[in-house]
Amino acid sequence: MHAPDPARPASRTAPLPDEDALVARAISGDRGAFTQLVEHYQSACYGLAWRLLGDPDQAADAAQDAFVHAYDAIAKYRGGLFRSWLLRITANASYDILRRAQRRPTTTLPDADEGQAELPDLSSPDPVVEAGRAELYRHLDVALRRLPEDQRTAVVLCDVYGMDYGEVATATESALGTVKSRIHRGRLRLRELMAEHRELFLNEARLDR
Amino acid sequence: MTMPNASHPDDERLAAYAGGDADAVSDRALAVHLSSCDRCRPIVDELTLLRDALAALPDPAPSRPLRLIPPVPAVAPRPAGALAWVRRLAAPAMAAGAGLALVGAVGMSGDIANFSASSADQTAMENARASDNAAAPGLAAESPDLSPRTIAEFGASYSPRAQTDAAGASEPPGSRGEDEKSASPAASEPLASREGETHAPSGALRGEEPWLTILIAGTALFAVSTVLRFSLTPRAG
Repeated sequence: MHAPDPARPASRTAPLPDEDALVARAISGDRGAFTQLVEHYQSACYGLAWRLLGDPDQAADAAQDAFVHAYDAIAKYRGGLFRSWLLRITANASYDILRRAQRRPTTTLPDADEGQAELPDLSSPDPVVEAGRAELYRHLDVALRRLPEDQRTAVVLCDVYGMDYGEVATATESALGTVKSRIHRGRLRLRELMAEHRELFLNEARLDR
Repeated sequence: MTMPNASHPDDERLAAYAGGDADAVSDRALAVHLSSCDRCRPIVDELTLLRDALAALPDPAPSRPLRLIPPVPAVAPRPAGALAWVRRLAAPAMAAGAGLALVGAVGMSGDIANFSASSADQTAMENARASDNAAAPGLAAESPDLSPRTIAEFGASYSPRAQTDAAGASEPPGSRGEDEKSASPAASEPLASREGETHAPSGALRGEEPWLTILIAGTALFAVSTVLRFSLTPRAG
């Protein structure tokens, strides 16, 4: 057993090397700098919206709305990770679409159709490892869709996109304790849903060590 | 699902520990329990692996190309440089033009009053000459109701008339009615000849010309600046 690292950075989209300078230029009205930043994070934004909404078209709408909101609000950006800021706006845009659809918080998503939201190449040199990893991620996304919406939102924002509890509470307009509870219960439920694919995790764990 | 009991921590507590929550990780009692519990430790390990996998989930490519930045708002293009200056100066130029035109008009009306007063003097002088036929030609000029300026001007420029008058004066008194009739063309002839022969403008016209120039310039400035102002003002929509 290994002790979890509380400061573990999210391993997905890393910041751009000159991100601070780009953000400063975008704040001062540089459209090129803003475009570069959004281009870098557009997959993360779309992915977040897709995992929250479960529908590719709605996800594209939400990401598109988020980029417009971000452009309008960039002058009010006050430090912190640009990625977190943009993802928070994307989460809000997704939530607006959910509210319009008047979905209930306990709704689960239907399984994704075949070929929907195809995942990119995982670029592993070993095709067997790559296949196993792709299988793991596919099952994981299916399991996420089976979580109740409130738990899925909290787990997606926190564990997939690296927001802290406070950020999730702000994004979902919920109390901190409620958010923690949703995340913990969501993780436990995911573990149950993934029980039959435990060997995929263990393979990954073996490869990591 | 494992039921929580007195000997095992709540499963949510295990999820908090796996997620790296500060209060759970720093809980020594929980750490001691996990190091020895065969039921709880595998759960935490699985939850930790699950969390690692969630953090590594790849993002799908957008289902359609996304516009990364809103298009530049379609506003009327601002006139650049010189054009902007012209537009900014149009209103002051309009006011200046109107002011100039007013000054010119007032100045001219003053001169016209002056000029008509001179004409009246001239008429009075002619009447005096016509009626006072027997009087010496110089007497009319010495009439006390004529200003010195008028005397000087008319004395100098109207010298042909003096000759005509002198010629008329030599006529016999009986031909007075005839003389009166011929007085008008006689009076107009020297005027025409004066304009035709002596190209130097009279004092009255010399005073009027700057005012007229000012009036015309002011009106033109007003008109041009008005046209510029309204043609350069961006239209909404």
